[in-house]
Amino acid sequence: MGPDLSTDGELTDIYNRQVDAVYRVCYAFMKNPADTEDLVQETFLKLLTSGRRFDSQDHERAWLIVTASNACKDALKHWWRRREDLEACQAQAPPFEVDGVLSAVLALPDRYKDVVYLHCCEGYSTPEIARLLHCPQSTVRNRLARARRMLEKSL
Amino acid sequence: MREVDTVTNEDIRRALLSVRPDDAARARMLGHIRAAAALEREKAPPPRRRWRRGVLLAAALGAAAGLTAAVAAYETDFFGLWRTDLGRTELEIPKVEADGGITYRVEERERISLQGLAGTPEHQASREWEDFLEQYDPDGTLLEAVGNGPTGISDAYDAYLCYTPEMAEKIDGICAKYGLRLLGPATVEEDVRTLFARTGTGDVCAGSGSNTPWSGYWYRDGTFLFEGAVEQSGGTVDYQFSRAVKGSFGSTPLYLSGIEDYEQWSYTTENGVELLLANDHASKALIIADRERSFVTVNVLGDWSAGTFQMSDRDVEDFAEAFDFTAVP
Repeated sequence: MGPDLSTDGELTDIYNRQVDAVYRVCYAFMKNPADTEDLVQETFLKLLTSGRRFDSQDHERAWLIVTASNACKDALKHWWRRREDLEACQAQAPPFEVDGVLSAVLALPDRYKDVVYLHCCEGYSTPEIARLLHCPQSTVRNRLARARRMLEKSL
Repeated sequence: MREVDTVTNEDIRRALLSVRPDDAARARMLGHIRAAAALEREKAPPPRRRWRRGVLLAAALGAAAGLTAAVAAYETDFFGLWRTDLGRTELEIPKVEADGGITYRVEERERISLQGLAGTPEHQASREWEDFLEQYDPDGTLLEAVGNGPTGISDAYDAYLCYTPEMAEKIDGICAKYGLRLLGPATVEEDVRTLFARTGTGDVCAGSGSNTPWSGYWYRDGTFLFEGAVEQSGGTVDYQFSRAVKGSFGSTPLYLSGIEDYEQWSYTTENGVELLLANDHASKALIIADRERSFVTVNVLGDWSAGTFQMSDRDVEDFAEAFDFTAVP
């Protein structure tokens, strides 16, 4: 049974457990601190309003990562959102060092980012990612392979 | 950039793990989430970010259980994009400057209805609401007064982002005038196949080719919006799919640079559904279907990774075949 978010303490517990992972996913998509913070908040609010219960903390983490990824994709393409706004946002300095590998990961097309994150950072297998993202295993494999080729080329 | 022959998972993991919020950001986000949680527990709407008129106009999608569905009569000669037109308006476009500040520039945009063709109750209602918003609270005084606090307005009006009782009364008046129903609160669905099941529709993504829906939201009458992507011609074409059930009041317009920029033509899918296709060859394409019980619009955003919108008219037709429009009556 997962957390019942009816108290501040329970909400704070889950936030402290998962905020770093959710922040990483959101930053990978949004590429600036301000929008990342917005999407982190949105992700936890979705958890709050969803009434979700989880079998384990792993399940909880996976749900939050996929929800954060989808929320970012939604935010990046909403009707009113314009590409130049996002690019201008990137001028804001992040509170951590961005090295060459991270720059290359951030520059990947958005559709590769959740797959790369889930595989390389969270250690999920291809079948597990396919189940999480509701897509064929072949798509996951192709995206991982293409992402790796792009990273090697850019580095 | 360093010279490497291969990039290992560990390289990527190390790079991504370096991304983390600092203590101030961590505390700031938790504070906002806890504040929203407190409001949620009181059954009040959560704090809203960036209340600007442009966002307000764009955020709601309309409808509620509809009984007045005019039977779809396909009049191809008259079924042009102009029949969805809601007129031009000035829109505030936000832009984040290099120093982190946000500025707004005003641009004129054409609005089209996602709810129905001109002459239908849904289209007339959308136009009346748009006209109301054009003149209501022009300097944002009322909006500023409400701020991020609870509005006390029923969640039945969530889709319209009313922030004063006067706005909710206007919505009621429009619904009564045109015989439409409120949409009510939306339900967010991460699994779009579940969204189809909940709205009693079939799998609209079961056309030809690889069509992957991401997530969406739906209303109790079967109105929904979801986003996804279609693998096509070596790229990935992103889209937004809107279904507005007839007989409901939806209020979201779609903004275009201008209808005159679009080439338009009728197209019949391989399984016999007549569509209006439109392509401006520069920023987006549109697919519109006037179904018996709903009005469907697909906003085709193109392949973002390509940097520019590159879809020929034939590409748009192939894209349309990635959907099964018979699944959404």
